Amino acid sequence: MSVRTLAWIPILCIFVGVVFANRTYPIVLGMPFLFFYMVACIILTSLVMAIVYALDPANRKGE
Amino acid sequence: MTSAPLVIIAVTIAIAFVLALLSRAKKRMDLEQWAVGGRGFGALFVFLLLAGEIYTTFTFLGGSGWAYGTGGPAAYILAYGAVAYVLSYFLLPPIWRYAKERQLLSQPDFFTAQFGSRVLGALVAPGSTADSWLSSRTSS
Repeated sequence: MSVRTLAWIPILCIFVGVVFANRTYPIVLGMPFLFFYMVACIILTSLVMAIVYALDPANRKGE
Repeated sequence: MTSAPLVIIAVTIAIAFVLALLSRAKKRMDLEQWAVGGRGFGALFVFLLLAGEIYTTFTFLGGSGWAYGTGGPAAYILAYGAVAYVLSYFLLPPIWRYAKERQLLSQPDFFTAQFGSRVLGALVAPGSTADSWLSSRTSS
């Protein structure tokens, strides 16, 4: 299984997880929960893609 | 006094002109240099360009108005940026490698080379021009 499969995590969080985050309360860090959830998804996307980039063999070869 | 803006504009143009002449002296200038910076942009520079690219008038004016008007649904603005970069991770490096091998400069060049059809390249040209023009004004 390729490390690239990890890219499904943010995709699923954004497209499927958002259904369960569709609420206003609790307010987190001053943001309605849905908004906080999307911000968290973006940070998660960065983290996951950084891991994929670091471990993907396609990026090993000098380009 | 009222001519101060004109003076500033004229001085800016003059400086840009002199800089352009100076840059010509040291480097060969051709279409490749103009279109893709001689393929010499580093990762950090491209990162900053992309960061600048996604913040447009829509981000500051359209997005906030949209959020004020519709509420929750405006959160999609955050979502599609993230999803676009996930997809780009898979789409763009192969295109970049392909274009670098064949010394392609633009999107129409890519379609012409990939599908062996100059007609398709010519069809893509107005579309990609319109897209880059419109997206620089409207998208987030």
